[in-house]
Amino acid sequence: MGENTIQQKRTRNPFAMFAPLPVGVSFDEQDEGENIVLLLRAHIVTLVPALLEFIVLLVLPLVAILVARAIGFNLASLLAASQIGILLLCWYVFLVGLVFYRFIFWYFNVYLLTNERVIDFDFRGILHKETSYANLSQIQDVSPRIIGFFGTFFHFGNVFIQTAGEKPEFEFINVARPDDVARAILGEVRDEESEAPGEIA
Amino acid sequence: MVIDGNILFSGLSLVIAIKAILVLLLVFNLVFSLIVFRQVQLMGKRLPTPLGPFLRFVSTVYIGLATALLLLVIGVF
Repeated sequence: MGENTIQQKRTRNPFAMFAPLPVGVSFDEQDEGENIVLLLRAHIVTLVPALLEFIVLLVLPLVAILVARAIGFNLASLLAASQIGILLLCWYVFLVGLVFYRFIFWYFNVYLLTNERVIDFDFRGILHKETSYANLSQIQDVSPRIIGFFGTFFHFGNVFIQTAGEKPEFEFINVARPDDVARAILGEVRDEESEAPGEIA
Repeated sequence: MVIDGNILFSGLSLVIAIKAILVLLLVFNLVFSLIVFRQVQLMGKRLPTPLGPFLRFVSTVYIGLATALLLLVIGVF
């Protein structure tokens, strides 16, 4: 691992969005001697819209009952109490499913920097996932970009990586501390350049 | 007390309609839970993390919950 590593302390938090040297994390095509230098997820602030949506959906049945009562519509005259209970149960089970799905979507959308390459685990939808790799030796340019009020305030943004590989451009989207990420990538690229070809260190 | 047959019929129709829609949604939810379980399993294999086993457990529980709810609605609603 290079001397440019941002932090030498190992990250034990499994929910970390900026995790140098994460403990207990590996990936299926990891080579022997290849270490994960940095694991990145989208900044936690990007989950705020989903959280607001969750809160709205959580109170929606209560609001619907109150509105129905206000306009004089009595649901209890049509359905038994047990049926209303089952309807509410269904609603909250759907909600739990939605929250879990949103969480795994965030959790598994991961960017990795190893001492050999950068990897983008893209979990775009329920039936769409994609993994892209670029060797450090193929990286030509790295540029961090922080845009907008929230990005500036919470210090997150995108990191664009231009490569000479199969996928010409990698984009780490909404990651925390994009400038530190860019510095770490460039540090690892420099270390890779100083190694003998084929050496994994 | 006089019970209006039309109101009774429309009430019953409404219950049947709600039940049909609910069963359909719960079937979709069950399929969704199975896909999520499979995704968690595959992603856990591609990217093993300390939280992987817990996520697999939660997705398994959710399949159970979705199945139980479907059976409950079919049987009780």
